[in-house]
Amino acid sequence: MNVSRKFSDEELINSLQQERNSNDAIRFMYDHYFESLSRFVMNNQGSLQDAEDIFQELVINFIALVKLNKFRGESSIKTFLFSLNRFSWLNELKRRGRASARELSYEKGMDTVEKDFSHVALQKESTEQVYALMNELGETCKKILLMFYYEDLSMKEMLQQLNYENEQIVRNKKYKCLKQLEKMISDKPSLKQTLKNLLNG
Amino acid sequence: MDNDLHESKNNLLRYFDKEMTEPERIAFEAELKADPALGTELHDLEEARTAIMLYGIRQQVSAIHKEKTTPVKQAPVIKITSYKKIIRYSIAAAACLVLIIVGINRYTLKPSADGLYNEQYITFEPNGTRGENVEITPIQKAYTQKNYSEVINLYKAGSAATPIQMMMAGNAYLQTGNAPAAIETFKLLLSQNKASNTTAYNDDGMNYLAMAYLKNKNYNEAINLMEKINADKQNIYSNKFTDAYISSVKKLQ
Repeated sequence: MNVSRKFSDEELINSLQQERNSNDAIRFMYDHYFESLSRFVMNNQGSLQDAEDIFQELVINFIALVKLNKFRGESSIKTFLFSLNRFSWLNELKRRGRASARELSYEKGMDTVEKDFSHVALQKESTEQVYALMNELGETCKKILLMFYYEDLSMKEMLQQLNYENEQIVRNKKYKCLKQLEKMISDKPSLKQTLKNLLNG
Repeated sequence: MDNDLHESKNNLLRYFDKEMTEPERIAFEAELKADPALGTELHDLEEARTAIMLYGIRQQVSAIHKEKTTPVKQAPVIKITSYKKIIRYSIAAAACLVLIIVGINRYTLKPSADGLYNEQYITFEPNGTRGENVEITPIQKAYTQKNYSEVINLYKAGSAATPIQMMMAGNAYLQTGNAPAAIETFKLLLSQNKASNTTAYNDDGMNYLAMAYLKNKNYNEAINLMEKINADKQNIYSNKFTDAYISSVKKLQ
């Protein structure tokens, strides 16, 4: 039986922030938060599929905030996720034009967690835009950039997995790929603004 | 000039990749302060790194999401011989019989109050705990730590409670099994709202009051309130108390 590892709030943050392999931490989030958060969506005009989609985006958002040190831990993770969940679902209802007057009036009374988050919250469209952009980079560039900047591998470790002669070639290739990505982002002002908000928010 | 430019770019990348020694880093940060264009280039690189990070997170989460939400695959279709068919149909008939019996029981047997309560009770989550200008109140801290007896003590000690404090106190009473006190607290919240013509946590108060009535076995009051919530399509808990759920509560009477 696959028993998932347990995490305190602090351990969860540390794992998401520092561990190369944080899969157990993400599994823990699914095991411990999905059920209660999905209930909110399903009790408010949403289907199970909606709840799953919202939760996936929520986890992506939360990990991004943690990695960028934007989650200050002033509320428990559960409280924070609950607010994010409510915020995301309300946004989705608004997008579908199904938010009732009560929900819209609730928005006016959004608490600080949600107001704070609304500046940096990524919409699904934004993450999809990033996804499409990275795919445009091509497999090699994507792999090299992910290895170095996401998986945190050293040049030596990268060389072992890539078909290049020496570390300098990998280093040069990484630089070119990074500049290419930078240029592609500059060509998409709305995405650039989203990334800027996320960094400065 | 070209060499200086090349060195500057190279240093920027080394700084960005955290490959500088401490003295190099300090010197470069001074250079960054003096050169806004260099700072802009650094921001551009940081945006690119953020895009890589988002892509990485999405890939990682997506894989786990599939693992946690993908439905069980259907078993491959196997040709059934007539002998196996008889057994299979017999099992199917027996299963149908069991389902019919379970169905009849469901409509004739009384549901349990605790079962219905647990089915719909969701722990109340107070908000407003993040942000530099927001102070976490002691009652909120105690509630977040699930120290419900402390929540109740602080609530009792306070002279005037805010709606969110009443929500936390009411839920703390529910969590500690004191449904009558929870009922009084939620009723107080609703009456104060009515008196001051405000609606803060009104829907939440109604929802938890209905749950408290159910917990306290005040079925008539619970049913009346649930029906009221269900009928009010502006209430955020309107979909929670379905006709089927209310029918189940009625069977408790």
